[in-house]
Amino acid sequence: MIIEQKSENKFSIFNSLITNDHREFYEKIINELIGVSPICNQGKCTAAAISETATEQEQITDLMERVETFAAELHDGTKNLFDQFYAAKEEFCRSIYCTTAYIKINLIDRTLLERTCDVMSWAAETVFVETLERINKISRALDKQLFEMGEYLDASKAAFEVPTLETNWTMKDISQYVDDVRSYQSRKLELMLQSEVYQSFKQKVDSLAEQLGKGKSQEATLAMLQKVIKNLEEVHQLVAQSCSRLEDIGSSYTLYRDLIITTTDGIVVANANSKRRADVLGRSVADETWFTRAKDTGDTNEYAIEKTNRSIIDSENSLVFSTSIKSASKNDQVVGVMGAFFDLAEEARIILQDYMPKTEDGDTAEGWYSFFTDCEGKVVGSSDPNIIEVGDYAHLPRGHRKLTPGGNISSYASIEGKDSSVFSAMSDGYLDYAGLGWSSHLIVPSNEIFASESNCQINGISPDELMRSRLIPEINKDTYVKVQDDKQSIKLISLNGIVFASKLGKRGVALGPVFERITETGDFATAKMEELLREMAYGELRLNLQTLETFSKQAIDLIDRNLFERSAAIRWWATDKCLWQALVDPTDENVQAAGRRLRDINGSYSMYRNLVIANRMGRVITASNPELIPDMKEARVADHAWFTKSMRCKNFGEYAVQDVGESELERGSRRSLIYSGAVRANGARDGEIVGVLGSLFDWVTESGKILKTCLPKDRNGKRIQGCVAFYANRNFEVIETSDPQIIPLGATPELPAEHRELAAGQSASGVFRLCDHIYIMGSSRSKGYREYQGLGWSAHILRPLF
Amino acid sequence: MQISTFNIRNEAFAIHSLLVEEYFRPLPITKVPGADPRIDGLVNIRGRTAVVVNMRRCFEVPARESTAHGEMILLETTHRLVKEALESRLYAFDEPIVLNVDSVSQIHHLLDEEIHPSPPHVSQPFVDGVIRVQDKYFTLISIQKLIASLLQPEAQVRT
Repeated sequence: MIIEQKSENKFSIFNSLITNDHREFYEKIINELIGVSPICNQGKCTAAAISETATEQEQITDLMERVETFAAELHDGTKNLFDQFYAAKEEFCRSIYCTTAYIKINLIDRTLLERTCDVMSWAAETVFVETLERINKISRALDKQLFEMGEYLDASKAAFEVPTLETNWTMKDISQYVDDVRSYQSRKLELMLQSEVYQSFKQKVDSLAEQLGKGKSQEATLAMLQKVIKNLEEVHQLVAQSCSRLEDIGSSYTLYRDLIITTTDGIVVANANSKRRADVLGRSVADETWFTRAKDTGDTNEYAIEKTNRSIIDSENSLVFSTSIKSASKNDQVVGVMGAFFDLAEEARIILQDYMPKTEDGDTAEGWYSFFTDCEGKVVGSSDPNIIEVGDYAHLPRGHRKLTPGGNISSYASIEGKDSSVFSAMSDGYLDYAGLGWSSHLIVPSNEIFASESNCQINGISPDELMRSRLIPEINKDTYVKVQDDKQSIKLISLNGIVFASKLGKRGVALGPVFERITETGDFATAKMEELLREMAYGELRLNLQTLETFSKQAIDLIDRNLFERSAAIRWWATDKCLWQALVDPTDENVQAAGRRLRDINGSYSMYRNLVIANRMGRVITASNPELIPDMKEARVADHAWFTKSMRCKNFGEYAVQDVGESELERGSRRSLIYSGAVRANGARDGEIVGVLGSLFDWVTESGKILKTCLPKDRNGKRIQGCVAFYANRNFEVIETSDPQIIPLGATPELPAEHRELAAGQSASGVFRLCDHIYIMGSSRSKGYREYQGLGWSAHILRPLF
Repeated sequence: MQISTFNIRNEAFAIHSLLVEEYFRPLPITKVPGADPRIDGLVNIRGRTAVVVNMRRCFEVPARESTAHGEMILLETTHRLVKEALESRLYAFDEPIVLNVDSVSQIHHLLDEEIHPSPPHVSQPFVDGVIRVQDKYFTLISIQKLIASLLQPEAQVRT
């Protein structure tokens, strides 16, 4: 819209975007200015009537003509001013709302990147590989055993045809038992994966065995039945183990609807969601795309993402991350597939309903919509599914469906009968993750974009200061100067006229009112224009404040989401077999294995400086990067907050966190943020704690990166000079800053009350004076993310006004 | 009578309107070497050359910020004075003179008796009195005395 229309972007009072206030405003100015011409004509006539000399008349006529010229200039000036006003708002809104749309899709991209890491690292867990290998083996054995079981049972039946001394049972008596057991022969999968089926089978086998025991020479059959039961028992144990492990993972990562493990044939052997387990285990997903694509993934770093409309696993729309599970001991032979059903609907809901104005009831404001579309243009998530339906094609102008990665566009459209502005931005992935080619769209009612600034009052800054500030584009400043100049010129002409008239004595009396009228008109028109310019300046200021709020919100959201991942990761790592083994039985071999496991994990999660395990006494026994610890052999953490807090964790669901601070585990006491969890023997969910796993999050690097991302940029995408972004902890102490010269680390800046007293998830913005400099500042307080509560931190973005 | 008011460093001053020929936006000034520091130089107004008097210097206040342009008042010359001015015993000069002021404000009508003598503590030699218009006070400047203090009174001043 804006780009295309730029050439014809001349002010017209007929443009539907012009607000009623401005129409009235414009009309008043124009009426006044139109009134100048007759006044000047009257002046010229009066001059002709009263002048005694040609020079006198000429002088008056000259003055009148100059007034007319200025009036014409003011007329053009007014139009230009409106042009600038609307163009500036349009441009600014485009920049801020396209950024908002982009922030939303970027949040999704960042989440999806973490998800790809998840599925790949989970697929590598030994327990799943072992389970699958064992189940595959047993399954093959069972094919044969179940067949043989039939043969044996037939033979058994025959044996009862001859009555023996030991039993008076006949074939007739045993037949029903045998048939009951035989009926399960073709139900291998159910026997293996469905508890109920297995239990009733086992009962029947037990009853039969009891009877067979009374017969003669039934030992072989009994042994056969024993073998089948033993194998099935093992399978059920393995399945239970895997399910329990998946449940542990799933309970730390609430953003999954389910986690699935299948055999290479697509038979589901384990899942995380216990409510769905009975419906899911033993079912085949062989014909579902996510499965077939995952089976073909070659190396361990490959994964597939598939958007499903329906799966037997989950009736909701899901985004499934899947990868093959490979046996390291057998040349990476594929032994199964892991599928993680990401809760796209909920994630999209969280992101889409955020960054939108809310009514007092907490609903999204009328006419505002936010939604994502996939590369086909179908809606995959919507802030208001009743209006913009998930699964439908989005009714958007063509340009919005043809974006390039990272690109954005805006245009006007009628959405649900309301004149709206549509802002779209396409994903460009995050880091090395290319994204899914999705786009994010934001719909804003047009009348809100161009609403008049009813209240030109923002505390802490005067209109003059604002007008001179860097926020106001040069073109507006020039117009401001020009209006002031014109105002003065008209005034001087009028004064000259009045002085001239006064010298004509009685003859000049008739001219007096003419000039007074001209002065009034000039004053009125220019005062109105100044008013409009001030409105424009305050509009610009307000949008800038809104931008800073958005960026501060992005900064705190990104860190909350990042820390959510950290709090989830620590919980499932703490149950890792290698770790508890090394603590329970600290042989050199076990400790080395634990160190290797920590290094492997750290290898895939580069946001950690170090992962350490300490025993109950607080002695560090191994670490992923022992070389980073000043004195590894003597490292004691018994009095560190993260250690003592973790030792008090009641169960698997709990973890501890030590707020950002200098750490003795770092050379030069580098600042770190430590997440930790209790390690329990056998990876149990509760019970005795054998040690603590601590993860040293690379706070300095990670938070610094995020703060840089959230610094305001100009219209060409260049960072604006002099801006600062910082995080403060719950005591308002600066824990990371993008510019320590202006906002030093550890300082407690005197923030205005409305920026200090923010509730969780709230944002504020305003003028902030710091050491003789005037800044505008946006602040947001952490609201956590999902079940992660956040640490009560806040993010603040400052932009200098001069 | 009518007075024309103007500002110098936020203070309001006034002169008789009959002594004003024209107000105009600042024109480029040609400096005159060796001139009195209160003289900015010369300007060309539609072919007439006028001497520019810097009013800030006359009142010994610091110069304006470079961004503020100021405004100019061209004074009437002797031969152009209207009858009413002569009757009011106003004085002018033969050569065009321009006052360089911060800003021109308004024209007020008032009665002669509204002019009060300047308070005794005012030492400025070219102040003629004080005028009150509503609740605002203006210092009335005597052009004759002002220019006399700058130029040779014998040669230039005529009654």
